[in-house]
Amino acid sequence: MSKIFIFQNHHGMTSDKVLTFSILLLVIFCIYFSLFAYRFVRDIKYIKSSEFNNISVIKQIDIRDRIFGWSVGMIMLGFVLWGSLTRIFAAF
Amino acid sequence: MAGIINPANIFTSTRLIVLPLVVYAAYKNYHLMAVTIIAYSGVVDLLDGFVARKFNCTSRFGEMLDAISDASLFLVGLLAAVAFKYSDPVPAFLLLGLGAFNAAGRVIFIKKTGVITNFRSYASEVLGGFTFWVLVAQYLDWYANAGLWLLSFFTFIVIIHDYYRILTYPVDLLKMEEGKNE
Repeated sequence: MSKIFIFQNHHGMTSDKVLTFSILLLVIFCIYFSLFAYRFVRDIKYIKSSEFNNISVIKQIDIRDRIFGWSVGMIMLGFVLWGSLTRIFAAF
Repeated sequence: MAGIINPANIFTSTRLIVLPLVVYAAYKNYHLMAVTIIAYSGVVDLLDGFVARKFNCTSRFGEMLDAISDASLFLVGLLAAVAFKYSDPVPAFLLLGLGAFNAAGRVIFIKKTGVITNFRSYASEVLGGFTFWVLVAQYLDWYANAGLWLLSFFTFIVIIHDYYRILTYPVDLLKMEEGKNE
């Protein structure tokens, strides 16, 4: 089973480059998580407002689709944060 | 022909030209060279729309070339990573299969609506961004396989969502809106 579900490969990448990449991902996490969280709150507020019922069905679908997109992005960024932090802590 | 050869398309097509270098870098185990080429491709992807607007040469062909370049980068980058043992074949082929299934949804949407309006899925666009970083992670030995498994899982979730949207989309209302815009 472990031969099918292999979660880690090592092909000789040096730890300083892995660490640099982790720090870069941590910076990207901060930027994108803020962006997605801002958009998520903005769209949720819009859905709850009375204005939402007056826009076309196509636009309502679009707004709901956005909220799903930002949610997926934030959940995935959680894994990026976990991966970055574990790699950074492992380096010291 | 004059519509096809323009600054934006030349700029985008450099992404296809550099693809063999990714395979070469993977073969020679030049991690940073592979990452640099993938990063170059990512930067060009971000800028080509701007170049097209700046030179006033936006076109359907350009959009198609951009999509083909995206798919080619991921396909070639991931296959090279599998071939030269950077990543495992199971999650890599699972992800490629899910990507193809996701693309088929767009074709169904175009056939269903009869208008060449790309089905815009924000979740798919978010996944596209993550795909780029997962590809870089393959060459940097940064949770390479875990990244592929996770991306496959989220791609599966997004495919369920997108197919539901595609199959239940109010086509009549979309056509009415298209008519108004024309």
